[in-house]
Amino acid sequence: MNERRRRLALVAIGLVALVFGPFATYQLTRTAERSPALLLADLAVGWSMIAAGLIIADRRPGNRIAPFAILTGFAWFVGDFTSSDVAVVSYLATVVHGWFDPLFALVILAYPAGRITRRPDRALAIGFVAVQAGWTVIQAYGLRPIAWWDCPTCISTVDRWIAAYDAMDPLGRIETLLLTGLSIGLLVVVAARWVSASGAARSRQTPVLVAGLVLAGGFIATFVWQTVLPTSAREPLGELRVIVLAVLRVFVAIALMIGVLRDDAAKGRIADLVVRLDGLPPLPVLQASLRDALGDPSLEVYRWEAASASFLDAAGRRATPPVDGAARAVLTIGHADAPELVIAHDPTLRDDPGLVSAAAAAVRLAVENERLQAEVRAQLDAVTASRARIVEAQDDERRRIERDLHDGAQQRLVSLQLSLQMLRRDLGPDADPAAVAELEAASAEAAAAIADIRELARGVHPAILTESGLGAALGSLADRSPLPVVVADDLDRRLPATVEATAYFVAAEALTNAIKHSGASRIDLRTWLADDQLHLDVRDDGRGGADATDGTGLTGIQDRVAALGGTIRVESLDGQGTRLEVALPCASL
Amino acid sequence: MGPSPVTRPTILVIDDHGGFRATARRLLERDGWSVVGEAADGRSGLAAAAALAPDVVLLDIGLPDVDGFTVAERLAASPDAPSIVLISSRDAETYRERVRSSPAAGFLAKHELDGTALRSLIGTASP
Repeated sequence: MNERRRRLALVAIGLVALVFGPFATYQLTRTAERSPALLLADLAVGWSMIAAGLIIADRRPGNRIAPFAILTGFAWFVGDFTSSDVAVVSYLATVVHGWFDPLFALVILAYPAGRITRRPDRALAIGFVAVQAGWTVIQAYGLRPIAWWDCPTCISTVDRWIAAYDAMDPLGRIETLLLTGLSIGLLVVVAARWVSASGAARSRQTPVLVAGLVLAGGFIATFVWQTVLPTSAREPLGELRVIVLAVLRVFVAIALMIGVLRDDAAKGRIADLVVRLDGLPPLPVLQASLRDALGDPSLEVYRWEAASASFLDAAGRRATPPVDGAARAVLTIGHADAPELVIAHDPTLRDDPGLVSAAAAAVRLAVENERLQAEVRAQLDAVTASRARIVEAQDDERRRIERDLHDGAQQRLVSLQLSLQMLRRDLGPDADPAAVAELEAASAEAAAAIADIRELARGVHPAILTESGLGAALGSLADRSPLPVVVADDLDRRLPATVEATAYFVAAEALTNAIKHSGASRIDLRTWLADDQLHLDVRDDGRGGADATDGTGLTGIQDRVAALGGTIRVESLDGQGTRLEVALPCASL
Repeated sequence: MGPSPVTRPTILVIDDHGGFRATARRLLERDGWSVVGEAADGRSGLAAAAALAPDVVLLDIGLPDVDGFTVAERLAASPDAPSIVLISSRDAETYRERVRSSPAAGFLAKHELDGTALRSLIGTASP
């Protein structure tokens, strides 16, 4: 049935109850004078049961308490038709209306999940239904001799029924006795449930405890009324009995409804739990959160510790989790054979499998989250390490290229230039001036080529960095700068080659930017070691307003710094110069 | 013609580039030096220096086995240590500090090499 049709059906049932209820209550006035209080109480009991059933049906579509509650309400109203002056109606109503109490008992037994699973509960349910079914047959038969068909509207038949009733009175007492016994049994079951539950689970069981008391109390009262009281005392007390029981039944109907719908609040707590379990918290926190969410202060959490090959409880002690059974309900998280977590909780929470499985799902999510986070962390570590390796490899490659340039082309050019110089001297003062000029031009060209290659090699990787360290390399940068650069080098030791190279390239880039864009008159370059980090500070007194993200060549440098796990910060306010601060960890490399 | 063999200062060239050694030999011979030997790496250079006892050792910094600074230390530690002039095709700045703290008399960029420059470098240090 789709949602809309289901809702329509519920509305239709509600409308029927709205009309049927007063009509039924009206029947009570047909054969006797009734007080308004009694009539009102009668209406309230039927309506409250039907309303509770409809609301449960609407909010908990799968819960079987709903149809039983609705039927209970209608059975209540049917009872009013025993007072009908239409003989056939009165007859049918008399036979059927007794189902109110057994149906009510089924509602109590099925509370709150809508299932009757435990053996004593089932036995009681079967008992109620069997006794009521038997009594229905007996009544149907016992009242049969009344020839209602002779006089369908004849009121006098009522007197004859009363006579027939009296004839059945001993059987009726037995039926009442049996139902009283069953309801006392139900009261015991419900009380046991209440006693064994704890916290929120217990408060959830309270409505059924009251309901059980009402049901059992009602039967005991009826039994006393029927068997102990003299007939003369029955009638006035009868009305009071009906009103008191009716009021209690209304309260019970409302309480039952609230009880069934309570897991709305529980769902809220589970949602809180999901939020709180962002990542798997330490065991004591997890245990407290679960106790809170499930309202079970006896709940315990155990975690498998691979190192000691044992379970640890929330206090960190080795412990053996209980086995799932009557005493404790146990659920496991992780592989069935090798659970990571074991949660032991109050077995009464089994009545609410949705709540427990939602909590378990939240924990599973947290465990899975933690696993994923660990995975991501490991991947991130691997990526970070590989990034640093790439930078190192790049530096190695640059160093190799610089060495190749130095050992190859440059050596040849140097030899060439020396040869040209010797040739020039060999020519002597009498040589052909054109040849001398040609030779000098060639020599100058070779010198220029040597200078070019030297510049190129320095750009690829400054040999001075490898040979003499960062301080010397920064000094050489400063020497070649067209602006005054003051270097304060407080390094007393050599650092890993990648760190030195990165600091050097950052400084070179910062100097280039300052020279090109800042209009500075002076640049300060400072290096020092602190907390196993190399700090580099480049300041100029230029116009500021530099944007580190905007094509300044710093982007590549930032990647390089980040690859080594370092940080870079650019501060460049308008008119206040530019300051670049870099910190590079040295220990990890 | 030329200085007599007796007065010509002797020099040993240690450099791993054969082409440069050949050029340097011709250049230095022309400028009045007597190139008594060549070596292509640090180890054979040290052996040659011990055997030949040259006045001056022209020593490349970037040798394939031991670097020029180490060779210079060893040479300086030997009895009758020769004057040492470090050379490289890199510029002086690259090695400035290390040259200063080495026992070498000085540093010459290879393309600046000639007999006169060499002589003025070792001037006071030469025997």
